[in-house]
Amino acid sequence: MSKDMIFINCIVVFIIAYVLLCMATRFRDAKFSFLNLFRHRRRTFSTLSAIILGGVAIFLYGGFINYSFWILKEQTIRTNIGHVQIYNNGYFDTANKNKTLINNYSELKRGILTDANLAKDISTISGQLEFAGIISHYENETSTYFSAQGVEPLPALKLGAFDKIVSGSDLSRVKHDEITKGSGLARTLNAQYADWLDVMVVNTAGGQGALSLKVRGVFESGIKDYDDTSIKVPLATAQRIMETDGVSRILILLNNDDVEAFMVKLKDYIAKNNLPLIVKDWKEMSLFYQQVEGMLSGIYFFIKLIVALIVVFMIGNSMTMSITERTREITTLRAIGLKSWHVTQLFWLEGIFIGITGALGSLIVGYALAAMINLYGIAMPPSPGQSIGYTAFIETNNIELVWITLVLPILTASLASILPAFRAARLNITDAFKFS
Amino acid sequence: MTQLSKFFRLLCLCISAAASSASAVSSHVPVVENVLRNQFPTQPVALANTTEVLLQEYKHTGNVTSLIFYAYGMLKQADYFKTVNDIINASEYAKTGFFYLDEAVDLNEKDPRVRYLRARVDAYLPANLGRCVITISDADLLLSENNQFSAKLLSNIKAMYYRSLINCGKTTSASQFLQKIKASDEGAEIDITSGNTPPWDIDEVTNIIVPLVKGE
Repeated sequence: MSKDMIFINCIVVFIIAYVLLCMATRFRDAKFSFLNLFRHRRRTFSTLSAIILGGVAIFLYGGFINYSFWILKEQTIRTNIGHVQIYNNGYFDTANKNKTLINNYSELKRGILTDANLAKDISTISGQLEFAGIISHYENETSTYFSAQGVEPLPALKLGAFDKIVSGSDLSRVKHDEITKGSGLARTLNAQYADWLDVMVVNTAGGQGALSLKVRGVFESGIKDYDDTSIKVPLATAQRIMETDGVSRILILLNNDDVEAFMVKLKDYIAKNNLPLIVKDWKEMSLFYQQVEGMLSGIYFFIKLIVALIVVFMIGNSMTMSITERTREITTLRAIGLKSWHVTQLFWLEGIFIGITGALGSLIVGYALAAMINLYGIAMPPSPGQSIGYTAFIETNNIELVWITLVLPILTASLASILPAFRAARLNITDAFKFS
Repeated sequence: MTQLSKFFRLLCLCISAAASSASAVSSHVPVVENVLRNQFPTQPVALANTTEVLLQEYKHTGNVTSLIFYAYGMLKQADYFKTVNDIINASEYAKTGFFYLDEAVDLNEKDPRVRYLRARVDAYLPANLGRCVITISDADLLLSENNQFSAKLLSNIKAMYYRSLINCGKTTSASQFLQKIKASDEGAEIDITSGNTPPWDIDEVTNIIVPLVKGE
């Protein structure tokens, strides 16, 4: 939890503790303040409506943003990125990736999977060999460059779960000479299911490698640049064409979202075994996710700020009107001996009660609207750089979102009623009696 | 996925009872037979358990029917996850289901019955899953080996082929194929309005499933 959140939570806890204290020690005051809400129902209703409208906006937009972050995160992770990646420690220092392969992949994989501390968090682990070259479809006289990933077919089903097959099927463990390719590349080559393609590469020894491969399927990840150039090849075939037993990186998909804790354990394992490897998490490897997250978070913060301002002004205005209308009542209370702090307390409690009622209303209305929206979802257009849209839903099971929906109205209502409450207490009794 | 009718359940029960009593040999694939008799469970947990047991049965016996039914089970689970908007599991289970269905064919390339069982699933899937190209290829191969199938099964294969041509957007080829069928059989009709896999018929059970279950 951030320091800001701790500070805000402390204020909220203080407010709630204060209300509880008043209810325990000054129940009549609390009751009086609460019943005052019903004295001018129309005004209370309009104030509550403004608070609920703001609260619902925060709840729905927050739920939408959370779902969008989640789907974008899963799309990133399950488009052959994984939660965690292991590289040779020189991988990012050189342009020639063939020189920085992980050569003892099988042994390393076995070692990681036999370590109970690591294995319990792993859903799937797979080596990946990256290479590039020229791919040709001689029947159509078309050639283009490609970027290939040698992947293990079975783990790739999970690691590439968001690579939607639009024609044919995924890679096979049996048919080693069959590949899948991105939809953009398929269009460029005009190659269909079961067509044969010729692949030429520069292998790890610096020589040329060539192979004829059959199209088994066409995939679409939704990321245009990736779909335009990518092919997937069974790892064994990729290693054969590249004349190596190594892999460029090892991808690990976790069965939970606690990436940081796993990274610590994995780094310990690497250090303990003196392995020349480095570990990266999915977020580090996805600049696009970081940019989108930054942008949407900024928009969300702006909406929260606007809602908070609206609520502050609505409550302030409502309380000021209430004081003006109840000037005689306030002065009478003062004249019969009520201290000014007592009057302040009554009005402040009234503001807090409006905030609490508004917060609960926001949550109820928010849940009802979210349930209606979630019946069909919201069809979203593709994000920048992507070619497929998605169906968005409102995430309602996020504790933090529920908390902020409750806290913001209470906090803003409480803060907004402080000034009018003090103003009420400072009224001059003799002048106020002249008010009509 | 495959919807077995009550009639089919009764039929399967009779056939499997007849087959087992005739051969007087205990079944190699009891889980598959159980699924044939009682269908896949509809409860998600029971469905997951049955599917897992089918995989264990395949690992234990190596009978391709267990692998195919395991794939069916995975696809049924994918269907369930899709209905509850769990897109990650829906995607993973669907991919795994198709992976093992394809693997069953890849491991038994020369067995048209396995190919038939794959085509039977693929032909009735939505077009956007892109499986139509596989069905066209399978149905082409099955029609070229038409001496291995009864008239009813050939009629089914033709229907699958026609549906796949439509799903792949090859409407001209589909019309030509339909005309060809009608030329040879005036009463021939192919229903493409129904999106569901039809119930198993007796030819499929006796000529495809039972022999595969028995490992013939």
